[in-house]
Amino acid sequence: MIASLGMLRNLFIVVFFTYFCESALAVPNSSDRSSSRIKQVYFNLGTHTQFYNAIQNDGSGGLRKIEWKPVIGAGIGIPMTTNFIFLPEFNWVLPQTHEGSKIFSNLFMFRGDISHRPFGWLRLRLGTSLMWANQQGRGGSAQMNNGNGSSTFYYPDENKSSLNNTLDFGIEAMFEKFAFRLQTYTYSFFVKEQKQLSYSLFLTYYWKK
Amino acid sequence: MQILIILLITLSSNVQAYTLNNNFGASFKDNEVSVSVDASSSCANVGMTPYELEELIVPAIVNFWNRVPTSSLRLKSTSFTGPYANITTGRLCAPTDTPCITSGDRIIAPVNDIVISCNDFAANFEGPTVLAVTIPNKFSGKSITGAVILINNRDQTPFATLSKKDKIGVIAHEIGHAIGLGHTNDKAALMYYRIVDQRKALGEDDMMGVSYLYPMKLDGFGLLGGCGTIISNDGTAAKDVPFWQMAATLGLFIAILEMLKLLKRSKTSSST
Repeated sequence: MIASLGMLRNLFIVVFFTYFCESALAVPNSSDRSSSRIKQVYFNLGTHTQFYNAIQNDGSGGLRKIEWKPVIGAGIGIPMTTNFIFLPEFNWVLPQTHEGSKIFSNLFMFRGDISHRPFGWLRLRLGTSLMWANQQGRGGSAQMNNGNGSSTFYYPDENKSSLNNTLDFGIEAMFEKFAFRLQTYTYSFFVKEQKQLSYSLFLTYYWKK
Repeated sequence: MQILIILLITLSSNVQAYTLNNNFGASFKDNEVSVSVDASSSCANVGMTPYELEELIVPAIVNFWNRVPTSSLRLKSTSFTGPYANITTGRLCAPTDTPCITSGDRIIAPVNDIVISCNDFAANFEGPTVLAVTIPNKFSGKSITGAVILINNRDQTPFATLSKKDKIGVIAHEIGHAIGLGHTNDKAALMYYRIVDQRKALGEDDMMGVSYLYPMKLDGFGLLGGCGTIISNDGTAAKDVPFWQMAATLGLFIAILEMLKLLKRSKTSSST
């Protein structure tokens, strides 16, 4: 039973990515053909919330719903079929410093979406990201409370990164050259215990539309 | 636009930081680490049986440390191990504490993984209000190969008066030390040195710390990361997201797209 569920899951992944690739590689119709395949260039500015409702915010049990982590990014739009556009993009959650400058943290997102515009003002995105969470430790130590006394604890002194694949869904309201987007990222989609949702709110400027 | 970018960089916040409990960033080499209770553990003063103590491990693991997708660490409860010599009455020694190590009543560390026990040796608990102590006390190079968590089982131990939720929080905190983390000044973090009013989840520092010590290396949407048994709150094996849920989500998405397309077409045809 477990094996068959695993097979079904793998089958699902194959179907899912076939759907993706089919959309991405389909031959554009004549109206889409032009000298340049890139039809759109855009720039993102927004805020990112990591692990919605899963990080404790204070000592009284409050969980984080939104946080201010500035993110900037850019992307391009490549028409694939009449209905679908492939939108690769890169976003960077600006570095945060921890405890002065003991640790620097960065989050880089290498993303790809297949998008569909059912209406002129609305765009839906389905995609995936490679999330690169980087930490640069600067070393050092600190004396901190420990039991009834205090002890020496140490700050990290290496550069380490976590890499995750996420499944993403986005919804974008478009107004002339600007758009407002809610972009979600699901970590560990297939593992219930670890599944976490992050999201970004973007204001996007379409330089070429 | 330039002003906005400058504003964003300026507002990028400076927050607290996690620490490590040693100066060489030691962590378990294997990402799958077992947590067990010593088979001989007597917790008379704590007012718990070893079985009740063992029951606290699963929520301490599942509700906290195993929930971090950016970490490859997968803790699992393996009920009872041992008994280990002196673990209920002996002294817990740091690896560099030579006088302690040479004493006859020192606790012999487990060969691997993390072991929890009640203990009533006064010198292990500096002061009557200390709830528990932990030392990763077996190393191989820069890797931890064993850690001991001792619950204060002395007369009038404060651990006995804690609620079940707080006991779980204390054990989760001590597991944090066992896997290599130190304290933080952030009250929201589990690795804060005191119990807070309500402990529901890890803080950002905890998540960053465990991700630093056990970074995830491409998890393939969760399929590739961590091969350990996944245990749910009630201690039974948790099921992955059912297949039908995933298929239904995708189906729904496609159906919505198609419906919107139809709607658009019908609007266009009615207007012509």
